[in-house]
Amino acid sequence: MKKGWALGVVCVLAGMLLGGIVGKVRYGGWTEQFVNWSAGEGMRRPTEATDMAVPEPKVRYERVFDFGTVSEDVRELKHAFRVENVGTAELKLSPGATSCRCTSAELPKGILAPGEAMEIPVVIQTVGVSGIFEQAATFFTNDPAAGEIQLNVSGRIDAPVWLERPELSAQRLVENVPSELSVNVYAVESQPLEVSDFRLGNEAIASFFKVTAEPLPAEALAEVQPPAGAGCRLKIEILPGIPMGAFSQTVTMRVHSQKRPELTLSIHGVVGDTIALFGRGWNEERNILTLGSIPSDRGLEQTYWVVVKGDAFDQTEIAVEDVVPECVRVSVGERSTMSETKTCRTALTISIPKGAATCNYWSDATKQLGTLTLKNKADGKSLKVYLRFAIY
Amino acid sequence: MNRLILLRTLSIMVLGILGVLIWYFTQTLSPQQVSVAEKPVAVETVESETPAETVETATTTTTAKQEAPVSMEADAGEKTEESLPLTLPEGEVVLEGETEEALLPQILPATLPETVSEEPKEAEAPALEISEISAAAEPAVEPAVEPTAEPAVETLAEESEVASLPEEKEPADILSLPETVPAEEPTEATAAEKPVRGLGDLQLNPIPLMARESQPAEASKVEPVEVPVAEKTAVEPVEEPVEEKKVAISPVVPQIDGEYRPSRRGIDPTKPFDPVAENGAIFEGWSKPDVTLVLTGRLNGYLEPCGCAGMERMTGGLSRRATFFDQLIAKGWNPAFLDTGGISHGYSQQARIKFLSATNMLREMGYDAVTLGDTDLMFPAGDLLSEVTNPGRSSKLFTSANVGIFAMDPKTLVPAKILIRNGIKIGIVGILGEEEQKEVRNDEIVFGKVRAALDKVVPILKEKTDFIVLLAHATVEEAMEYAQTWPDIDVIVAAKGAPVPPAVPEVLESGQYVLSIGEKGMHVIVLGLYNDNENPVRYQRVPMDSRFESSQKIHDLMALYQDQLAVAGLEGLGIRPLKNPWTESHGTYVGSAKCESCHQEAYEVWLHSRHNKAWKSLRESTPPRTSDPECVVCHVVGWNVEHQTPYEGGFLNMEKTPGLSKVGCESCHGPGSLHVDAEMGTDEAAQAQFRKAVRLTLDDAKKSQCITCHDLDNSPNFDFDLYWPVIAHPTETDESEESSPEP
Repeated sequence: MKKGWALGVVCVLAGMLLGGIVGKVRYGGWTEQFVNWSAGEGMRRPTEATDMAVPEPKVRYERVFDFGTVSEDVRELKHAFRVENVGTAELKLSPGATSCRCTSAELPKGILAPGEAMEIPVVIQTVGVSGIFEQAATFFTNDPAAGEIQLNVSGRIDAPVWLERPELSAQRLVENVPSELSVNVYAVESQPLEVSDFRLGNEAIASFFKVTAEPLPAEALAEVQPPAGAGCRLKIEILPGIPMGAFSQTVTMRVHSQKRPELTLSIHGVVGDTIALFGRGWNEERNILTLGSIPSDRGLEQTYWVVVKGDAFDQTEIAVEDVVPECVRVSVGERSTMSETKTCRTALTISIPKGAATCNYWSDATKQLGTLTLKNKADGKSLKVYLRFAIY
Repeated sequence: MNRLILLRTLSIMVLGILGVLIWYFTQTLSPQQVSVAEKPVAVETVESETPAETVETATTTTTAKQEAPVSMEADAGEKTEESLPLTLPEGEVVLEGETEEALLPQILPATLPETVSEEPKEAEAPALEISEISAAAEPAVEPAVEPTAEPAVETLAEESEVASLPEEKEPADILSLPETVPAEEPTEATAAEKPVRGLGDLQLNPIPLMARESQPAEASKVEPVEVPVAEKTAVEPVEEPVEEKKVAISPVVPQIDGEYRPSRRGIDPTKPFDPVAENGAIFEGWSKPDVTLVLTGRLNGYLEPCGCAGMERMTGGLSRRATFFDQLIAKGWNPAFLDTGGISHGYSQQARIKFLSATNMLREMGYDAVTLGDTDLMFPAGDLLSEVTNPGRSSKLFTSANVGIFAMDPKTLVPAKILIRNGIKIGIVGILGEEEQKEVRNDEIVFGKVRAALDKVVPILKEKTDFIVLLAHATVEEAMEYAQTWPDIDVIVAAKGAPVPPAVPEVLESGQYVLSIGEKGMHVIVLGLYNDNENPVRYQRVPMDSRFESSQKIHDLMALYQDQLAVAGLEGLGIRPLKNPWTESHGTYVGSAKCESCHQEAYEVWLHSRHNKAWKSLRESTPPRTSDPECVVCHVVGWNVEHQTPYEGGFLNMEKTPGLSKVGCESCHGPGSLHVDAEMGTDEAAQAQFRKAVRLTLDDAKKSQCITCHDLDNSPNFDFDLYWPVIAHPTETDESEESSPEP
């Protein structure tokens, strides 16, 4: 009897040991040594033993070519990508698409025997292209692990003269507060760069823009990539007086370079009040803040931001002068400042308590809306907000 | 005796089998960490009926509110003791087994859709595509849950070091723990806030359509401007229906080894376009993943493909993406929708409106986390603040560990998020690469070093989550560096890479995935996570092609976006006509009708062409695009294509310049007034001069003129040699034989 029990325990232990071995093999990574983990081959493949049983094509190819920095005088760039069949069956290829009409890739042949290689030329037309480019040509194969291959080209087309950036954002300007933007112009040649004859495209607000140019010091040029031989800094001073709302301006300048006689810079921005409200439902043009339809049994609590810009930003103190109706509660929260942009930001919490009586301030006529009047004690400026909401 | 031996043998065998079974089940039931390529995904085997969209909230208590103003420049206040979360906000439900962290109620269960068979598909059967499967269930319905107070966040005991801009400032540090995000709580208020056309609850210009028509005459900051809106009183001239001349287009298909091998981009325009055949099937052989990561980014302002050249052949658009997302949800694939930023393109007022519209669309689609890209951060900080704080919703959409708006503040931009899908905790952290930071010219945005940010966040996520995803608005090269520096991050999604993401992912030796997502929203990358040691992760590049239908909800938001453009008008968008560079050489625009008397044959060709219907196609698109400068620019006469701005004398609206709508003669040949005047006179030298001025050779047309509008985005199949025959009209040589015009 005792022998029987002992034998039974031994069998259970042996069974568990056997189960452990099986589990470790299946889950514990022991199969890794049999698995092909080649990067870029998509889903993991079964064991090599299985792979070798059936002839399969396998593509090996050059993926990326960087042309580096190229002069814009070069109208066409070409690179031949090597593609090889390192498998054991015929590799069939067919053309896919390119990422740009400027890029073309011709397939010399559609079938590669095992061990055979070929070169696929990828050509990129660079006329009209400037700056960094990155394009790709796609081909399809019958390699089960790489049904699609992508040949990538990249580089940079350098113009003889170029703007650091062709577009500037003036962000949000405040009425009566001037602003200044700057952008650099670079040239490959080391002769001093002359930029002049600034023409403003939007004549309606041209009088509010002053554009000047000054040479860049040598140390500033050393940091530019690719290196520039000469450069100048454009300063665009935006004077107060642009009407409220969005604006766009273009600055076309004459460059004393035979290869690139003109450059155009675009400027976009918005002119707003010194005191502004930001948050969901805010219509700046009509000063209407839509709170929405509010269930009485749930109430509402939302946070907004009052942003004040200007010279007296650090003295900003927002106060609530008046709120209609009384069920709307407004509290002023934390204040934080940013001296570089002369900005002060104040949190504002608008709440409607649970159980508030039903009311309807949902209208398009501001006379029928609730109101909230905020005042900046620093300069006495106030902001009247129309509240559009309904409690049901 | 023999019986005894037999009995014993059988007993031994049974016990042995029992032992094996005991060991097997203990292994599968024990919780394990999810780790790509190393360990099986730990998923409880308890069948759940919920497309479990629970998320975890890591909350901390705030320090006392500071009454005195806080400067964002210097070190922020007193050091606080660094502590891990957390407190349990009222009303939170704690899931069984999760006692340390608060978890919000799960979404109400939905009936599981039909389970995708795991059997390999037969060769004859079409590939299983998600768009072909009819959802067996309604999408998960979110319960009406009382909105909970937004969890307060505690700052960690780190000195705040402010931004890399201006240069003299120290980089800002992370000030708080990653916020774990509660599930969406669609309260009544939230439902009412959902943008509905005409109700104007959007953040920007929430003016109902009805309200616009009955606006009281109030003093406004902007003077009333004329708006090129189709609804305006101007009545367009009634056009007699003109029969479109059909010209056979000879197909150009590649030949390989003498055998026809059609390209999978379907360049044969004579055959019906089949997106699945051309762009490939998706999810072939996939069973339902335990968790699905859906990765997008670099929308670059492309809310939708142009559609002008045939929407069925174009790729991209948020509308199709929304449909795809809905299908994933309906299939119960437990998706987490993540975006690497780069939503916008350009800095104009239209770009600003588009950015806000796009973020509304992303919210509507149910995105879980979006990081901000360099182009997004060029907008005024106030606008960004409105957008990222999104007060009224408990879940913050935007996340960035090293970007701050006005200041590093976790109340505005959370450094990281934790999502729970199917019991698996996924840590999401977003960063802006340091090369990309240099591109942002916005003094109101503060940046932190990537290293400092990830050094703080990654260990926390490693401790609290099963899987870490880094949304890196950075280059692939930078993403590779991040992968090597932080091996605990399982997936790094780089926003900047090749225009088309690869068909197979880049998997490092460490098992980490470094992915790129292409550009212009043309593709979505899907990672399926499985409890399978052999194939724990599956990768699929999904083209947003016409296999996905348009989404009504996104369509409605697009309509709202177009309404906003219409209300703003050119002046509201800050667009003023540019000086026409051809005024001196060509004169002003006269309209195509003026050309008819001398160029009758060419006029006839134009009359029957689609160029003549260009304005109509804008008007009849859904929604109409007649107020969208990005569309109008290539459908009228006299606009600068690069700046999307009219020239002086170019098309303004149908009231003032009806004759300049459509793609007319002067769209290619330039303004014609001096040429017309000269032809009406007797000065032969002037006639020769201005005939030369308006001349456009076929060579120039092929090389540079046509592709200004027929670019790859808007006319992907354009081939001059195929398209020219459709509008071929007499060249100068032909016209010299025509009779002279009547004086």
